[in-house]
Order: sequence, then structure tokens, then C-alpha cells
Amino acid sequence: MHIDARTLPNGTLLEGDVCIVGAGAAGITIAREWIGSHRKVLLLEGGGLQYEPAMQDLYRGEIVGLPYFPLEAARLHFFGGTTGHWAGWCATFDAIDFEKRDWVPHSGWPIRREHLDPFYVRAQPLLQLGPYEYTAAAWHRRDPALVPLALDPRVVWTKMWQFSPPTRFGTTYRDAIFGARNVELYTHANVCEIEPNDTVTAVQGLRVRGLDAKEIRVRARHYVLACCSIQNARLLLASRLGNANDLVGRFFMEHIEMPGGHLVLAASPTAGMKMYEMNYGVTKARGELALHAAIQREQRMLNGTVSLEPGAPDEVAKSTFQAMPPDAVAKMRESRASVAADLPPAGRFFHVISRLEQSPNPHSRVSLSTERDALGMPRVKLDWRLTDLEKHTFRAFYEVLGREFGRSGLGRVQVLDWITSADPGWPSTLGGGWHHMGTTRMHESPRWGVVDPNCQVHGLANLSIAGASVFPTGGGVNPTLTLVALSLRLSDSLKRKLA
Amino acid sequence: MLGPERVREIGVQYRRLVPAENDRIRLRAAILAGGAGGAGGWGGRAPSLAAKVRSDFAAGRTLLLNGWVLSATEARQCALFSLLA
Repeated sequence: MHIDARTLPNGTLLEGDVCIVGAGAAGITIAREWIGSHRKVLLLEGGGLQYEPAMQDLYRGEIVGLPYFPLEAARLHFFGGTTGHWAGWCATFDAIDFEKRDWVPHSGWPIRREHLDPFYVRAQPLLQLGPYEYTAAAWHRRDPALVPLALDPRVVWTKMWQFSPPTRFGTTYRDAIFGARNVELYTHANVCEIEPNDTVTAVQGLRVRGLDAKEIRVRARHYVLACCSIQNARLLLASRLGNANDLVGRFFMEHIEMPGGHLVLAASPTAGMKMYEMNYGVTKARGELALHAAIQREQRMLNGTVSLEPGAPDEVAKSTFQAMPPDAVAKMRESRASVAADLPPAGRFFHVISRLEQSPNPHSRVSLSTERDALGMPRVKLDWRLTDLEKHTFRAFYEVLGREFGRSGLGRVQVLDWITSADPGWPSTLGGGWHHMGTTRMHESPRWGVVDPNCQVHGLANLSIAGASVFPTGGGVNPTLTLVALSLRLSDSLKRKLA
Repeated sequence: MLGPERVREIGVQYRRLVPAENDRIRLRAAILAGGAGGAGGWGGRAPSLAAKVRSDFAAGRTLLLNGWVLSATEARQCALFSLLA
């Protein structure tokens, strides 16, 4: 059932068994799991059924750290959430992503990869993906034209991705949610405050406010925050809850996605490069190059992958001199007119694009701004920060990659200047993957985490958090598949709890 | 694979980085050290040099020159080329 909360009288009280705040990938995943149960589920979505500038503006915030995308553009604020514009890239986290790595401060999940495996299996069809197969060998069996490069897999291996159509949760699951008798979806229902009980050991209710200043109260046995990493933190901070150890909003993480080098193959592979090609809307699976866990341990580096994007030889100068002003680039090109002619033909030249893990860092954080939005909520302030470990990882990754391509005789790798430079700063090409993670991290101890291994907020018996905000580390791949898997796990845990 | 202009630039950078090898004789000796080249003439030594290059990569005897990850033997070859060309 769907109700536009703007049609409800001021002071309405909504009551249910489970209240999910946020109807994006995580919230809709959980709501679907309860369809047909004898529990009444309230699904609150701050936006409407489609894009509305006034709703989107509620996500606007300040950027005070490294340059970042406008926050009001980085997440969608309507039914379906950011799946309304995601690209559909899915891959599993590796076993090492869950481990405590002594060279990565604050690393380590309280669960292991095998704990998540059964939920990855269940997440696949929700994201309209293919079979739960993430090895190059399995995909080669399905399509013999998918041949991994002949690199030593103990050094560089081909990590598989699958591509969702991409699933737009707001349209794909709309009928299921609207038609569910025990699920009530309320749109334009922005939660402005979480109200605790007198002893601050549980949530007593939620206050929902509209742009017309009308207020609604919500009461449930259990509450789930599923409104994305930045907004989950914002709501807890604004409500002054779950933050006894000053952890809420800290450890904001992204994936660092930017060009890092070039690859020149000695010869065009006889098997072709289909394994690494991407044709949007057509490609079901492809590989990217990753470093084996043993190499990551040896190099004391973070995880990540690189994609190989075919390029034309005359793009080399553009890429190499990308940090230079245009007139300087023109002069450089003129003085090096012979260079382009020396380069290998198209088909053997590739831009190498990185997607690397960010080290969990308490100083990389979301906090509240002094500015307020149209609902009177404090806006957020994002202070995105990186450490020397990310820079070290870039350099180590490309050196290992270059050595392995050289050893195998397949080609040579060129590393971009900014990676080899002693300058500790980041170039203007620094970019994230639009992935927000880690602001309400998971840990057994409330001293080091906002939620426990079951995603329940430490100290608040009936409040859980779904989404990538609970990730203690971000791995090297896009978060959607993992956050959907974790949401399924959370839903199972809640069913046991409320049984 | 890279073309003469880039090879020359890399060679010049290597000679700046390792001034002790900034002459033809020392570079030839270093390239041929350890058995590379076999018993034939220079032109017939390519297979053996290729093996040495691979061995360099496998052992981590690599350098970053103009951003390229190259084996020590390749870097010396570039340096020799930059002196001859």
C-alpha cells in the first residue's frame, strides 16, 4: 500500500512492527523480505515517487575536505533511492577485505566472507544478475571468448564483475511494495528526529516532518535506518543517538577511481580482449585486474582493481599531460610531434583506470553544519580525507602490475607522473566512485563501532542500520551487491528477533 | 613497442640516474653480464637478452623511467641506444 504522507492530518500516529527509514536498495530489499508475513511494516521514504528538486535539496551539504561531488547530486531522494541512476556494477568483496590487516589501521570486520556468501547468493536475483559465479574460469566455460590474460594468478588475477541491467528498485519492485497488504509505504515522509526512551536504551518513536511543517509520529517495535551513509549519520547526529564514543559520521570512505597509467601490449592477444571489454547494456560479465592477497600483504597495501580501457595512441599526450594548462599541452605536443607516430597501434594501447580501496580513517568524516534545510534539520558537512596509504597503494599496485606484465612478456606498463611524484597531494583528476561507506561502522565493541555484527546500534535495543554505512572497510569494488547481501542478513536477524 | 624517441628519453633518464654507467663500454658490459648474449654475435643474442629481461622482472630488478616499469637490462639498452643514436 502506498500513501503520500502529505495527505495525512497533522499529528497522525503511525504504528507498526518494523519501521524502515529509507526506500533505496537496502530499505526496499528488507521490506520485500517481509511481504506476506504477519508483521506490519512501515516503509518511510523522504522523497516522492520521482525526482523533485525541493526534496533533493534536503541532501545539499558543505564540502570541507578534498574536493567532492555535490552531495545533492550524489544520492537520489525518492522511492528507489540512488538505484534510480546507478550503473549496475556488481562484484563480491574478497576474503582479505574482511580480515584485520595490521598495516591498515581500523581494518577487520566482525564477520567473514563465508558468513556473507549465502546472502550474496540471494542478492544476485534481486539485482537481476546472472549466476553466482565470480571466477574467470566459470565465465570462460560459459563463453569461450572470455579469456583472461596469461598473467601469474599468484600475483595478478582477473577479478570478475557482473552487470545489473541496472535494476531500478523504485520501478522493479514498485508493484510488489504497493501491492503488499502488510507493507505501508509512506512517501514525502522525512524523519527529522529519532526519539529514545527515558533511559536511552531503545527508540520510542520517530518524528516525521513535511515541507508544510506538518508533523507525524511513528511507533514500531523495531526501527531500521536505511537512508544511505551520509543521511544515516546525519539522522543519528541530529538525534544525538548512538554516538557515545564519538564514532557516528567518522570513517567516511569512498573508492578512489581515476586513471593511473597505460598498458602497451607486445602483441594483440590471439584470444582477444573480450574478457576486459565493457559494452553498456550488453556485457553481462567482465574482468578487471587485481593483486593477489599475498601480494597485498607483502606490499602492505590496500585492495583494488584496474580496468583496461582501449585507447587511441594520440590520447597518450592528453592523459600524460592532463594536469598541465592547455597552452602548455599544445606546446608540448608540438615539440613532441614525433611521439605519437612512435606509439603502438590501437588495440594494443590501454588506459589503466584504478578503483582502489580507501583506508578507514576517523578524520574522514561527516558532521553537522550550522546551516539548516527546509525542514529545520542541520545540513551535513563532508570532510573527505585520504592518507599516505592510498598513495602508497597506487604506486605499489602499478609497480607490481608493470613487473608482472614484463615478466610474462605480455607488455609494459607506464605509471602516471602523479603516482611517482614525491608530492603528497592528489592531482585534479582525483575522483570517487560516488560510493559512500563507513559512517556507522560495524564492530563487536561499542568503543570502535556504532553497530554490532548484526547491524544493531550498540546500546539501542530496537534500532538497526542497513546499507554501506556499516562497512568497516570498503574493499576495492562497488558496494551495492554487498549492501544488499548485508540487508538480507539483517532482515533474517530481525525476523528471529521478532519471532 | 615504444618507438625511438621514447626509448632515447628513457635512456637519457637512466644515464642521469646511474652516472656510473654513463658510457658505452660499461653499459655493454652490464647488459652482457651474467651470461646474457650467449656465444654468438650481438645480433644473435636477442633470445638470451629476452630471458634476462624476464628474469629481471621476476626478480624485481626494475626501474621506473619516464613512468615506464622497465627491467634493468631494458633500461641499460635504452641508455646505450641514447648514446648510439
